[in-house]
Amino acid sequence: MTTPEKISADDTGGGAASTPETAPPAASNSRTPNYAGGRIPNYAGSRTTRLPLKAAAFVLSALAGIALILVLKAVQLDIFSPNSTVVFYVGNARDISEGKTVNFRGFKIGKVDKIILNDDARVRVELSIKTRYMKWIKRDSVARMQKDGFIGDSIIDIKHGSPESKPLGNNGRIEFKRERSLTEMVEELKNEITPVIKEAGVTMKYVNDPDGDIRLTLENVRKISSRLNAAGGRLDTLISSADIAVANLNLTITGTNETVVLINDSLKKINAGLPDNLAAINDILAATGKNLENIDAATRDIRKITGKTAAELPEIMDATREAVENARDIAESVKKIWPIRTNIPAPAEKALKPGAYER
Amino acid sequence: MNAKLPLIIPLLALIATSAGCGGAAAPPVSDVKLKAVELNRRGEKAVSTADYQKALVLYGEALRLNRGIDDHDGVGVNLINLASVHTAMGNADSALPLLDEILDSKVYRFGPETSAHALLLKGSLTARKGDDRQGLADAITLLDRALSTCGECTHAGAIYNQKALLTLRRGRANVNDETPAPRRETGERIREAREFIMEARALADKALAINRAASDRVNEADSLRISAAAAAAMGRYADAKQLYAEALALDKSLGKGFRVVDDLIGLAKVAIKEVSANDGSKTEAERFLLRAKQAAKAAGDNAGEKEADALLKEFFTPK
Repeated sequence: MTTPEKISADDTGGGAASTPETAPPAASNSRTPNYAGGRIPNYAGSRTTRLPLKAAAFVLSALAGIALILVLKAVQLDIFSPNSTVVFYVGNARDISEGKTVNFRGFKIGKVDKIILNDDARVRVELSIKTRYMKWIKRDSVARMQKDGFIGDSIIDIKHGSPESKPLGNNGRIEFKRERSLTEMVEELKNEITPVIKEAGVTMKYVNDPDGDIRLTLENVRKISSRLNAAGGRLDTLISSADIAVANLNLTITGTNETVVLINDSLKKINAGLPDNLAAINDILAATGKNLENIDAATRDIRKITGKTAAELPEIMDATREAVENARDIAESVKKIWPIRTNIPAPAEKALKPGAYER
Repeated sequence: MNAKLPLIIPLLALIATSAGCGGAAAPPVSDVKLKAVELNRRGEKAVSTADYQKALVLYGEALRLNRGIDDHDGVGVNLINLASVHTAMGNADSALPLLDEILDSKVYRFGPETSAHALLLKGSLTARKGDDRQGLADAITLLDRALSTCGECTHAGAIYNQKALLTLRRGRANVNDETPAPRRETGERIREAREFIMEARALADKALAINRAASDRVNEADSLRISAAAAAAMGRYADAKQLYAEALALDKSLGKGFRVVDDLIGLAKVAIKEVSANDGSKTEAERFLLRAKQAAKAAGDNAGEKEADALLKEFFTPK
């Protein structure tokens, strides 16, 4: 039984199903040949003769594709670029292996080609460097072993030599310097830090010693600071008092200086009026100058003493006044407390004490 | 009963506390009285520095204030003080009316202490004014009144001292009386003098006991000095020296310069009497007088210096 869609498709004559090589002939309509009692036609003979050609074409095309891919990959890997050899010697081949990347300023320019332990027990390392990069490798270039990041594999990095140095030729030799490993750096750091830490421990122990100088000093400083804070309010008063005292002394000194000037003027007049006695007057003047120096020194001393006394006196007076006022307040408060108040006599006048003394 | 105790005790405590808090507080003191008290204390300070004029002004103002508030005790105290200052200044005529105002007042009522004090001062002034046997007898009568008024008051030691002193003077007056009299009267006078001196010693000893009990060191020293003088008058030089030495030690510790001079002169007189009795050191007597002279000069005691000088001249100047 056929579906309406198939009927429609047959009508149009399209589709693979209608291909005479693949589709068997239909038996139900009038155009289909009648096979019953007749000869079967041979369709297989033409197909088998074309199959080997088709397979060969398929395989060849596949091989061609693979070859193309390989070529492309080789080109990508720069396999076809010419290489030059750069040599360096190391005492130890640790961390250096064949195939290890060789970088120049972050670009891969080659690889470790060979590692050979030669007769004098030195390690010869041959680098295979793309020839086109050789122009940047100078005779004074240096190869270094360094980590590609902290946890990455180690690589060989070639440093650019000086501009005036000539480019290194094929099989040229450069110097190799091994960077210190992290372990070496840690070990070195440890060796440097350990004595410092020990010293710091000794220092901290000294600092923390309760009977040590530093702790005692800090304690004293703390006490002094608290006293300074307590005395801070009084400081302004003291300073102002000291300023007043110094100002008064300055006035006195100014007055003294004026007097000295007057005396000098008078002496000059005397000197002019008595030329015959110049020598004697000069002696007097010298003595007067010395005395004035003594007065000046004494004045300075007085200023110091007065300043110090002026600074201390208000504090003492303040403290005494405060103590007296406090004592008075306490006494007045206590007087009001029962039963104390009942035993406190009212203020009364006193008679002078009688005596039997007479002269 | 026991079950109620926990309730009763706190209740009683509460009542007691309430009563206490609301109890009698000290009577309020007026500003006038406080001012009078302040003037009184300033007057006392002026007396201690011998600034008698200032003391008179201050006590006078205090008296006026007390009269203004009708404070009898205040009036009495300041009258006494004014009289004392006048006495110290030698103004007996100014002191006596003040004392009479206390003793004969019809306005104020004074306590026994004030009255006894006034009688003591009046007795001293009476003895000075009438320096004769009758005057001394009148003064002692006043002191006897003072003692009866005072009873066991704080002035008892001073009154006994004064009475002992006047009694001693009475005995000396009898001895020194050169009025011609029959032998019998003269003998009687001497016997009476000895009795007065013995009585004076007894009174001084009584005063000493009272003053020591009251820890009144100034009057204690006075008692010792009077007792020493009485002992010397009785010829008991060893006792006299010991008593004078005790008085001197006390007066030194009290810083009473005039009294120190008296003690040293007293010691010198005893030493002189011992020399007269061939029982003492002339050098010791002279040293006492020289010390007395130095002390008198330093203390400004002109009378003491003159007396020391006179004694030195009399006994230690080569003739």
